[in-house]
Amino acid sequence: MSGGARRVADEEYVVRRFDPDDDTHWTHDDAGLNGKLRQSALRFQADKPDQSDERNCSVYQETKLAFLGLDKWGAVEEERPNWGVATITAKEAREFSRDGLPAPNPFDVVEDEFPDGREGVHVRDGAHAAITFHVPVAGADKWCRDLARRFVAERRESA
Amino acid sequence: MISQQHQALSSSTGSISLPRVLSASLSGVVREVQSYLRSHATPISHHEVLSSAVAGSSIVWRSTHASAFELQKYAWGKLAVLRREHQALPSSEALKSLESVINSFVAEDGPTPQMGSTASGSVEIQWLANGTLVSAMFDTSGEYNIFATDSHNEIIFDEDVPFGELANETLGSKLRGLLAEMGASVTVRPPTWR
Repeated sequence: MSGGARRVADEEYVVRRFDPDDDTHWTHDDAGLNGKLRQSALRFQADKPDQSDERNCSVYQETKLAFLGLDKWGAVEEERPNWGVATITAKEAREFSRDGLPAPNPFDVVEDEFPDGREGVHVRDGAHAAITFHVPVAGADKWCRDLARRFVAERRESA
Repeated sequence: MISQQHQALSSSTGSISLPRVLSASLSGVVREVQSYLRSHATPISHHEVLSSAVAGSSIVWRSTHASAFELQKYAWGKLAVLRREHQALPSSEALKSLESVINSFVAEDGPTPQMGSTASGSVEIQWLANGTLVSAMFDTSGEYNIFATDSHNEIIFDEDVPFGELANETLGSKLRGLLAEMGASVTVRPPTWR
């Protein structure tokens, strides 16, 4: 999908929805502070058989959500009112690095409006984007763990 | 009178400070008390009002005490769910390393070991308390990574341990100490705990 896809601007925030009641999405803070998103909440999948080396995690562009009349909570489906939202800038997602991680950062963030091309989908699909990387990646698990912890996550009760 | 009931409930929990997570539930208690008082002409006692209010509210007081066995059992139970649902397919080497980490570092009254899967389909344990995060992440080869950040997201340690080895004495000692410190700040375990 990323072949030819437009890259999301560095300063753009992208939104990932997650289930705070799913303890594979969210690590609970035993002292009652805000929990943390974990890499299981960033489901990277191969979109199409002819792009088998590409892995994509669905997100939504915050500015496009606003253009479509939605705020970041508009990324959450109506039938999942307890879900939370986590945000990160495209710049941070594609540029972060540190000692202990194999260089270079493997991620990119690209636009992907209406990924399924289906009629009658929710308006939020007009803001759909993807965080992508190509396999194989050295230290993929470490990269994904670091990516997840850089998201700023919110639950409904703190909104 | 409502403020008196609120104070009574607060004092009934003793010297233990109320977890932040209960604050929303306390509002529910106040609403229940108000509802009770509107529906009953004369309450028999403060105790009756409080008991009815707590019963009708969402407050459930769970002990945070946990033996090493209980915490380890919790972790293994969560791993079983991950494997059953094919969210994680750890190798036998990863499972051996996972077992040694759980046996060595999941101790009485420590923070809750929370299992999850990794991008490659292996497993990871995370502990989180007071903003301090510890992660033990297991590779297909059985090698594992011990990683920790403080409440400001500054890295405390990030070390790889070869398969078949335990964390060296320095790392092991630091990890045990950090987990014990985190355990001392536990006030409310995850909703799925017991």
